[in-house]
Amino acid sequence: MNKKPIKINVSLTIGIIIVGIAVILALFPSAFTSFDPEAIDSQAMLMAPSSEHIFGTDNYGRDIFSRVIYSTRIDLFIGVGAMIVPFFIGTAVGIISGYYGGKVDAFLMRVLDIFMAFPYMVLAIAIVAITGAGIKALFISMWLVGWKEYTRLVRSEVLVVKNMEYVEAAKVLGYSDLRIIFRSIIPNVLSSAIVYGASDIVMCMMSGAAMSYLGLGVQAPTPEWGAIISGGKSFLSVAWWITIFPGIFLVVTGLGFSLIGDGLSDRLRQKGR
Amino acid sequence: MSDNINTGDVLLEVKDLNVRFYSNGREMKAVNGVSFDIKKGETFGFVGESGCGKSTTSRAIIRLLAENAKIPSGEILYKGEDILKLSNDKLRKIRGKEIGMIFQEPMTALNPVLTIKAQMYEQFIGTDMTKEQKEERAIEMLRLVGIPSPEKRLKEYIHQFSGGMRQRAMIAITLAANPNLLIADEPTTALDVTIQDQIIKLINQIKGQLGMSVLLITHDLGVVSQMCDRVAVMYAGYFVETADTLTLFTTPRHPYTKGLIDALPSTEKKNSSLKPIKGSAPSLAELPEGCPFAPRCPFKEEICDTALPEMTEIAPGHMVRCHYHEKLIGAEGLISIDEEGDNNV
Amino acid sequence: MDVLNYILKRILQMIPVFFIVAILIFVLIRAIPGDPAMVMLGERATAESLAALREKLGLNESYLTQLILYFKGIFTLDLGDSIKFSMPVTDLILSRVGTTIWLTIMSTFFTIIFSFIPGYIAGIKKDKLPDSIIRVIALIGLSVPAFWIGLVLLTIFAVRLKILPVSGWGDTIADHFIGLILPSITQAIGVSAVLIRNLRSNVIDIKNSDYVDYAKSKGLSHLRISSFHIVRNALIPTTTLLSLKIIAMFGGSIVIENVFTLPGIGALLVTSIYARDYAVVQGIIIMFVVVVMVINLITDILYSILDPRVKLS
Repeated sequence: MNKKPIKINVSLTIGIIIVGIAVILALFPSAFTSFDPEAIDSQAMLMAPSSEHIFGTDNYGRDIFSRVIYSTRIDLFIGVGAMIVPFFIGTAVGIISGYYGGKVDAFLMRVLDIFMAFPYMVLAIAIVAITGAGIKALFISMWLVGWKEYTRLVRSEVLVVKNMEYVEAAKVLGYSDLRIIFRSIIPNVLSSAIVYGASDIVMCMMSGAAMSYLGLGVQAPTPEWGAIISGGKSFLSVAWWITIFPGIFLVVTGLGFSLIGDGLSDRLRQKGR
Repeated sequence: MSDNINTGDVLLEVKDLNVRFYSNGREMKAVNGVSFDIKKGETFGFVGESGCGKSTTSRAIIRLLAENAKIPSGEILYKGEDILKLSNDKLRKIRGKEIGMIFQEPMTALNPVLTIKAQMYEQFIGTDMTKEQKEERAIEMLRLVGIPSPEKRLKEYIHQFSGGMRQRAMIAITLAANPNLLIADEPTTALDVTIQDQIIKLINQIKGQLGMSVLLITHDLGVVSQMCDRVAVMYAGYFVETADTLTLFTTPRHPYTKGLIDALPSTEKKNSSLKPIKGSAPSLAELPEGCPFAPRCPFKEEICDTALPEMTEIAPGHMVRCHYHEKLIGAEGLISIDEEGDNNV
Repeated sequence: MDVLNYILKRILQMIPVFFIVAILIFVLIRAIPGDPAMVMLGERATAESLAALREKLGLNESYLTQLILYFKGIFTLDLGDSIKFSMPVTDLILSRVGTTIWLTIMSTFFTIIFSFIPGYIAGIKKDKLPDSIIRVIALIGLSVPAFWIGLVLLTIFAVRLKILPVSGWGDTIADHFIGLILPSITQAIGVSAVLIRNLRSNVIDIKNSDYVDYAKSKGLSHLRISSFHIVRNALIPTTTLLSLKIIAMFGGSIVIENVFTLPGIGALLVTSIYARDYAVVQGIIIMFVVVVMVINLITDILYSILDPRVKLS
């Protein structure tokens, strides 16, 4: 039974390739296009895709391909940045809530209830109403709405793990809570939070783009996929390319992270057996 | 036929049954050349460790196997008709109505979101029973298996029953279709000892009342002794010994059977500790060329590694699959078989 | 009786949460920098009109008095007046909420159409061709942002093929219905992807379960086993998930109504934020919170009806 054929995880591999390409685009956008993404060219407005402007141009004559490529950095930054803070906060709250239980748990769960009472977009928009539109508002709102899923997920895992023999044994041996949490709890609950995190990046990227689309996130003229799509909305009948191309990049990048998430959870399930 | 008192009417006859599983490109030989028959009113037992193919054999009888299973050869004759050759429609008429099954864990075998009544009534689909007749029959069945206030409990869900009552409820549902053969797959394993006893008595009693046959699957020789007329001992997908229960317990002729019996906690010898059979069964994907038990066998000779022994009838109704079955004649005392292959006689 | 008791108990539990949330909204709205009256009327407003508006909004009162007036307003359904539309917020919300409710209902309908059958097929045919196809589609569906696919559908069906309206929702019921087709399909795509994956994994678990084997051993027909034992059980968690997603779709109206220019609550919220019409923003957020709480309650009751193992307590 030791001979386990080494199976290539197709989802994970394709996902990593896609995200890898996105990261390269984000790091070195100028290597892929010679156009300045913010350069206005009144001679080349609303031009259809051609050999010069392969994705066409917008109503200011800006090169869409260049804008799409330059957007990669900010969209990845939004996806990862909006995910990473809730990941740590939510996981920490989940561990504290699950590990200590009792009144601490009851209190934190009521706080969770309060946050659960707002639909995602509504809370995000309420925050923007206060801080004013912009990338700062975008991050604050997504951090505030994002943590609760991690908390719920991690808390339920902690409740299982903390009754395991090795945790009980560690308690009997008189180890400190901190030591038990870091040595025994975290290693066992982190993987499911990571799997969720991969798909959460997709959600964060899409919500960030949606907010920018509504004009509440990244502001013009900074190139961002959602904002470019928003700019193309008025020109659907004459210049579909403004809308279509940034969306395809958004979908493919999202797909890359979704595939990584799927691949990771497959891995985990096999390990569990 | 009826005047052949010795053998009785054969209800089910299985001939040279083979079952294979395929996963990750590997073939697993789960059941190998198994042949037996069950007579009317008889209780036949399969005994063996988990994974020895006893459950698979019993499920193969009504073709209730996983998608990755194949039956490359064999015949399963129920009342003379080969179940393996039946159309799906005809198979459905055998399932439940002719051959019913009960499982080890009623909590998972009954649908948690349907009432006992709904699951009982499913047995009456296709009959022309009226609503009143169905209800009457359902209550009668619950009463038969000893469930108190059956009218009320009929409307409940399985999670509302206690452990022993759950098994009774499943028995009632299975028997509601009035099967001639009951396949009981570890029916008492999940229960504690006193309840286990009650369920064994219940099955024995109902079997007599309804005149049905029982195929019992168990890993527990104690249960075999309380229920079975005849037994087959299974190891690595093979039958290694079949005999009537008394013969098997008094004069086992296969070292594995002997080991199983010796592993039973003895009531006579107070300070004898439990004697487990050491080592483990071979992987069904890599069965040895010779006798599957050879790696653990204390009587192993050269031939055991190279040639698979045939099932040999050594006395009327007593078959054994061992090259050296005579060695066990007169072997007294406890045999414990361990990894090194020593034997203490 | 049980159910009634439960509903009562849950409503009692919801009251403190609602109070805290309402106070939070109160604080949030007042945390907006600047003088609300100035913000609303613009920099060139006269001193008199500013004073009048302050008086009207109760801004001259202490925060405690404002809070009491605020709660009084909530319970009498008097949420103040909209500056932009010059009408009571409650009336404004009521005139717009119908569109959003219909959008959500139709989106739910399309979600069920798109997800239940493919999810079941994928589960039953695990690792076979239909499963692979459905899984890939669902995975892509997960990664498609609603506002973009909405615009793509608009381009194809309204701009190119001209079989559906580009925007708005007309005047007659038939117009409303036609106007809601593309928006609902747009909403349904992402949600369906989530539901397909959930249903698929439920079906895989259940089709290998003991009780399905037992049902087979009883000689039940294929149709009966799939409908009464597999589908029925698999849909229990999926239904719960669907109701959570209905909340998300209700909130998602903010984006969808913008894409399709529908006169609903979501579009009103965005307009009001731009117009700094804070009474309306406050009113809509309160309304969303109440809707979320009610749907959550309905979900829990529904769950206990579908799964008898779940005790309402």
